Amino acid sequence: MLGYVVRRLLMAVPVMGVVALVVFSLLYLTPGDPAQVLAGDTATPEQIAKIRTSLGLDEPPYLRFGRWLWHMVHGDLGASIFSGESVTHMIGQRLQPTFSLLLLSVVISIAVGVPFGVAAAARRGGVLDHALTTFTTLGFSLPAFIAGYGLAFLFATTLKWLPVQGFVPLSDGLEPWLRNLILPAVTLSLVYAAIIGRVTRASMLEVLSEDYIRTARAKGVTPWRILFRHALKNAAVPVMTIIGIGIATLIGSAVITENVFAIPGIGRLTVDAILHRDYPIIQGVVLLLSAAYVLVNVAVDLCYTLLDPRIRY
Amino acid sequence: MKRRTFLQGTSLAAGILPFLGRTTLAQKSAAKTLKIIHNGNLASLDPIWTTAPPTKDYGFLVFDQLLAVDSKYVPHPQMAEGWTLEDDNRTFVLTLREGLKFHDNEPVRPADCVASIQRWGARDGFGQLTMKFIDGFETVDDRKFKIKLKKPFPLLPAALGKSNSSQCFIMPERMAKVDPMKQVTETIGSGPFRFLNEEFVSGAKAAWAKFDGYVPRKEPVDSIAGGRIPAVDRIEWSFISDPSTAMAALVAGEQDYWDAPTLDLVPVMKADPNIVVSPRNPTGSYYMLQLNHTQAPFNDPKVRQALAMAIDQENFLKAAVSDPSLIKPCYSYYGVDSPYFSEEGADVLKTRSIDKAKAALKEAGYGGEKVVILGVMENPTLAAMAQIVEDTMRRMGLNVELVAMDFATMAQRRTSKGPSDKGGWSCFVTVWTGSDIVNPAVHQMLRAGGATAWFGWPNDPEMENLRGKWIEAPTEAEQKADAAALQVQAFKTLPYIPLGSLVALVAYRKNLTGVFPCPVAAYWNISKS
Amino acid sequence: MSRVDIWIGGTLLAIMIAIALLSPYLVAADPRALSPGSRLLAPSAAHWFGTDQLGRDLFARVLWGTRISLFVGFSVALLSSLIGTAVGMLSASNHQLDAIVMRVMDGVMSIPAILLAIALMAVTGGSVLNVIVAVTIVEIPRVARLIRGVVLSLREQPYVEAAIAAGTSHTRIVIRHLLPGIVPPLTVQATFVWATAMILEAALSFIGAGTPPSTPSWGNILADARALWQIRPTLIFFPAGFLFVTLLAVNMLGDGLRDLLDPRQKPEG
Repeated sequence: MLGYVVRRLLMAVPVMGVVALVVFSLLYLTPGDPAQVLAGDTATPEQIAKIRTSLGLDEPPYLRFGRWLWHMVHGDLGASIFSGESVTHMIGQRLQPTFSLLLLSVVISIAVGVPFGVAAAARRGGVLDHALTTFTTLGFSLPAFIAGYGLAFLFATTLKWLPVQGFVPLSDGLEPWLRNLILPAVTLSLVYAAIIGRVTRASMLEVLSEDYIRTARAKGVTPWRILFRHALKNAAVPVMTIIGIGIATLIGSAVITENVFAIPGIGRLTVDAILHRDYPIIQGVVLLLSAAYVLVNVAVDLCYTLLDPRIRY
Repeated sequence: MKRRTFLQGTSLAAGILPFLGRTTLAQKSAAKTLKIIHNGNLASLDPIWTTAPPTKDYGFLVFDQLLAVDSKYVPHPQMAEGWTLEDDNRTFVLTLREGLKFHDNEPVRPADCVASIQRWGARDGFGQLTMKFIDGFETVDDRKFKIKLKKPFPLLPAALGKSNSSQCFIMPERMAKVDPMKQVTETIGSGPFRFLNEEFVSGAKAAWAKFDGYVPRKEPVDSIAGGRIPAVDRIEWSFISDPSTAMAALVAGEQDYWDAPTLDLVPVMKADPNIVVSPRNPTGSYYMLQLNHTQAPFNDPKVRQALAMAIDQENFLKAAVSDPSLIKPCYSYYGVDSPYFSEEGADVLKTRSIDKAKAALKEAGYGGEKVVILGVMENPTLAAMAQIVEDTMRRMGLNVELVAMDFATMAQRRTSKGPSDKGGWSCFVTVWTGSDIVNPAVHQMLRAGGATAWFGWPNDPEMENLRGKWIEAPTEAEQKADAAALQVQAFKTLPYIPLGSLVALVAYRKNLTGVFPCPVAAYWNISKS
Repeated sequence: MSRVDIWIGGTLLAIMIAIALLSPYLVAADPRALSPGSRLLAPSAAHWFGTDQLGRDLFARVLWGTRISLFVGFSVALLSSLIGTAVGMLSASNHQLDAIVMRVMDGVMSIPAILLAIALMAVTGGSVLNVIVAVTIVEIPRVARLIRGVVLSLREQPYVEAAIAAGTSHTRIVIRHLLPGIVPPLTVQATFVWATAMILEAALSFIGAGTPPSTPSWGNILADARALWQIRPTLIFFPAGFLFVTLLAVNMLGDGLRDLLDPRQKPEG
């Protein structure tokens, strides 16, 4: 098992390398010149050319990539074209808000989605089941920003229970940190809880119709035990997968939520960098994301072996 | 109340006070923090390097200017005590006020000023023009220096004190000596507020603290002239790009001031008794349709004239807001608050007839050449106007395509001088402030020197000639006449087509005092009760 | 139970498809006609859903928007499901292949959809195709991982082992034993992908990398109306409502079909 984990983590290196190359190539093909955007409206073509040279943008692409790779291996992700700040520093500043938001959202989504899914499967065709279908469909079809605005309008503007926007670091206190994160985390969780709920339900339904469940019922095992000890455990693999995929999706959806609630996270940093063609930031963030996905997927795959001992690698 | 109870009460209070103390102090300092919602991201901290509005606003807080113009664009001394002219108006002598310091407590010296003027003169348009007239500098003493001119240049005070970007901000010599093609890395100025670098998160928040060593002028504020008194202890900017959230934050009291409220949300804010919505910037936002003079069809002046006949400014402005009081058509190449504003020569723009435009287009012999509109979608007002452009052009019979793109793509594509179907372009909509179009020196888009002009490269030697005359004009009356003549010629050449202006509003909470009319986002003089 | 789901879901979806196909005949107004003087009007006899921020008739735009939205949503959901399922099953069939394929999927997941779409814009221009390709590429790894996970656990089921031992052909195993297990989570994921495609399409048109601005789609109507929901909530309500009904229909159809296909499912009794 340890060998497996080490092998997986080692394989992350070529993955990250290839992703970096692909993104670099994509950026090369993408129209838009950061020197133009940087220089602003009043710069002359000569000035822009000088800026390009000073930024190293007129070097051949393989040289630029090689240089970036060399620095990256030594822990230096370069500096933002726009602000000149170190990319590592900029990403570091944005990690806590995004990570806090994601953590809270994952916790809420699992805590709400799994029990609902189990309950709906247990009472298939009942009121709860239909309610789940309706609410979960509402959950995905409601664009995140609408849900965000709605929640903010109700809980922040009208009831004044929670703040409208912003992020307070954990170091400033647990309560303010939590208060600022609740609305954005709930907004983000809506979709995620919906999909977890539905996959849990679908997967549970599969398992509940198995013979061994009928046997357990016949033997008089209590419904509670059947649901959780027998059924959920076996239904867990797709649920686990969806949780893993969901984390990946959340990272993408976090952009909108960060925008709506003005949370200074990585999502916004990435979108702004893409729009400005701030290549070092884009490359740095994508590198971080690929490392994150590799780790999340290793964790999920390991969970499979825990949940279903028949799965082996 | 019995004396004993009172004393008991007092000692009880005295016991509790140390615990309350922190909260009370925190409340007190919270009361003196001005919290501002900024839509634009503060990326660069070098106002000479970039003209981006957030950097300009940053510049005005952290730096100071030698001179500053008032609401009539008349220059006044700011850091300077005053100035005199010697040698037949060929030497400009400036004396700095006493006690001026940078944020690192170093005194401001003439060497700092000279280096700053040179750096500004390397990048800014008006600055470059100024440098052409300058022969050299001479430091006289700790506070006095001379600018030697090749010939008299009455526009020098207006250049040094101008309010539109890039302003001539004074930096410490070491910062001003940084290559103008590179950004400065320090944030030391001599302005009313110090930048708190350690709290800066680019794209998320920025903060400043009052500079206790600042010596404001005694005169009352008048645009950017007058006393720049820092009336709060701290200023915090939050970058909230979502307009609904920004409004909600303002309404909830989490923020005090919104520098660029979405015009459509104004009725909601006006209905709130705690919020004031008013025009602070008297110059407004001026929209323009920039044309490419190097490619068909707009390389033909007759086609440009036909287009101008079809443009109805009201249509464009109405696409952006529903409130008619915010719409201000402007049939001039200068802003409404400019001393040169007039409607001379603007008849073509007042035609407003698709039929006449169609006829004129036919007469011009338009051969169906493709018109490509570069449509930047990120700014909803510009996006809306781009769609109106497409609609208007289609109705008058032009073969038109609106290509939607993001700003970076547009910034690159508009440098192309090739044909529109090979990666080139025909037109795009852009927006400037009134102070950017106040006179022929600052007005980028009135330059018609072909290759040296702004994107679009209008080429009209007569316009350039008139511009030169205005620069050299010895009296105000002649300046006015030259500016008017330039406008008349511009309406013949049509370097761009003016689309009118929208009133620029700000929204802030009622408990703010001292908000004064100003063409830039100036945060001095403003206090919180 | 499943019959009801299929009937309701199927009918709703059929209505949406009919709207998409018949929109030119159902709508009198031109969805692209600008009229800045009548912007942001409330619903009235002249404009059943009111007007948008450029004075265009919202009823016309929402109905015409059905075409693009259904097309984009369906294409992305279908393509990513087909390709993702194939990749996932391939991956789960062989250990070595699994290691490589899944690492490639990890890599593809890290590329932000927005970047992909802007890069594609250089090749195809801002268009519907752009959106479909960019969103499909990003969704494939998610479907692949899901299917792979399901197949890995199903593969170990006793009836599958028995079938292999009995010499049943791979194709039969796949169809009879694996597919029914895959269909339930796949339908859920496909609906989710459909919804994500719409939202992403809106985000992309916002920056000019998506559907051209004059072409209506529910996504870009929602994107344009973001700032205006407190002034004119109908701009959000109607397109979001249509989206909700479509997704509900697809969900119900998916549930019903799955029940029908699965031989082990008995109607609740």
